[in-house]
Amino acid sequence: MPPAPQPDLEHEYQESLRTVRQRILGFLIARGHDRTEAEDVAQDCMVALLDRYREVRDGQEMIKLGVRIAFNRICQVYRDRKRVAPISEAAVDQMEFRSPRNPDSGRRIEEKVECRDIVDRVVRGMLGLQPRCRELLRLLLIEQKSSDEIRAAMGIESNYLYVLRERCFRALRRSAGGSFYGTA
Amino acid sequence: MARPDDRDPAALIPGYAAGQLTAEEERALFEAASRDQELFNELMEAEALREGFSSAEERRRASEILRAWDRSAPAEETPAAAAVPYHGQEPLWATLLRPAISSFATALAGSVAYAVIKNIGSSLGVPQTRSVVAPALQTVPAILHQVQAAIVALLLGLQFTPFLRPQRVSGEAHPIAQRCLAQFIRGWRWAWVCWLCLYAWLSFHPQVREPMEPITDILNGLTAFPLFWCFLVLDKPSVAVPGKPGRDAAFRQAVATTWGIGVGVIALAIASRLHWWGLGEFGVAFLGIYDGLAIAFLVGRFDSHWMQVPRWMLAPLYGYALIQMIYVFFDQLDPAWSVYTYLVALLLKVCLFFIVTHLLHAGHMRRYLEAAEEGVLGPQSGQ
Repeated sequence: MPPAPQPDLEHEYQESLRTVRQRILGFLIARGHDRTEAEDVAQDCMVALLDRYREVRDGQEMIKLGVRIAFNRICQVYRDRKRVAPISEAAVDQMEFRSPRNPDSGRRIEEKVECRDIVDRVVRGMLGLQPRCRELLRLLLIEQKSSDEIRAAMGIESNYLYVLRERCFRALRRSAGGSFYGTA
Repeated sequence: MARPDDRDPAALIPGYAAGQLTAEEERALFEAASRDQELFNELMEAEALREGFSSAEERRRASEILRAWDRSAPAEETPAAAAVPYHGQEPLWATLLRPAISSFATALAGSVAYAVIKNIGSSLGVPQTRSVVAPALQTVPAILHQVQAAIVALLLGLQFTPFLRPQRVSGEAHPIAQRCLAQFIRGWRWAWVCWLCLYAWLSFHPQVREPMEPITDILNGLTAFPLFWCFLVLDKPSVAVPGKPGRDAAFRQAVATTWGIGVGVIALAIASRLHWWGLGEFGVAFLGIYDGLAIAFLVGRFDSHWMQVPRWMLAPLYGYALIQMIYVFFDQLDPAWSVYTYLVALLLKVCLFFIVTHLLHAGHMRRYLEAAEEGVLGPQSGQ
């Protein structure tokens, strides 16, 4: 285990932890969670973050880790809500997963299902966009092309690509119903 | 132009979702997100995208769905009707005539209802209200009209000088937005020409105008036409492109409809002035509503966040629309109040001029039209 952080770093970590907690709480409340539930989720994130906070080098890494943990925790909350009955063996077979943990990707079934749900929401959102935006997002998110490759494919200037990328992202979020997460 | 992400951390969000940020950029983004809740929320959304598309299997599946959609979409978008130019569907005069007749018929029906209610009221002993249409704006001294005409002429002339010139749209990157902007500016200038004609006419001595009072209504009604045009340029795809000659069909139809209604409303106002068919004040009241709606619709478009007009700044503009609607009651106001309201209207007209000039000059209108061309105003975007 890495050594405990120095006192000044310790202070930075504590500040970052407070900030992350505040931001996660703000995100959940903005998504329509009631305060008690939001506090519970944020607290869970803090516990997970505290378990690993010695791994990070500075406050920014703490925030980055906090975002990852919050994403997983929030997805878990939505999964738990949807899970009215345990997943049957047949359903698992249909998903083409043979075991709870797929050795190829290291993802658990529920994580794969969550990814699929997100992609479905995003693709539905993309279908509601103008062709130009759809093409840009396809190249960026699906084909994972670099900015230079996208510029060459779409025949647009570098500055314009950055502007268009940001606008298309906002349009995508609106088109997907305001969020890529499940229902709050 | 510098890259937007040099100054705006929000521009880094797409790069984060696609996993394309450098360590330095990622650091800058997280630092900014720790200070800004809105940015943090966007970061959380981007995290979902990043996770979702990190799976090669999901990317392949998404790609197949989009390919299937692209294959099926052209077939759905090219029915025979879509390929037919607008003028092949219905003659323009028919599109103009229908709303003109329907607005006329609506007002006549209203007039009949009014006459019935008035007669019932008088049979019950309720005193009748004054029903003679007095020429509106008659109570305002001619000098005020002359001042207003001079100000309008000045503001119109300003639009043809290099001062506060509108920002141009690059025709190479945004050919449609460029033509839309030209359409808007054309409509906007015509609105000022119409106002100039109206106030120049009102500047004549009332004794000169009185025998030809319907001209006031014609000129007043005509001021709304270019304002509706401007609104529709911002609201609908108003430019035909080589591959889609019927792209502006909805725009042309909407223009014909609103102008057709205007023709009907002007006809009613004239009928009111000439005391035909016992219309009372209905015709003139409709004209006020028509003028007010033209301004309200246009101002409503300025509420888009792309225009970046502060909400409080829209209040006087909506106020100006409301004043148009009460124009018919000017003659019933105390003369001092008529003058006061007239001056407020003049002030609000100047406000409208400066707000639109700012939108054009600062580039907000350009950005709005470019965004509309790119289809990023929303799923149902106009241009």
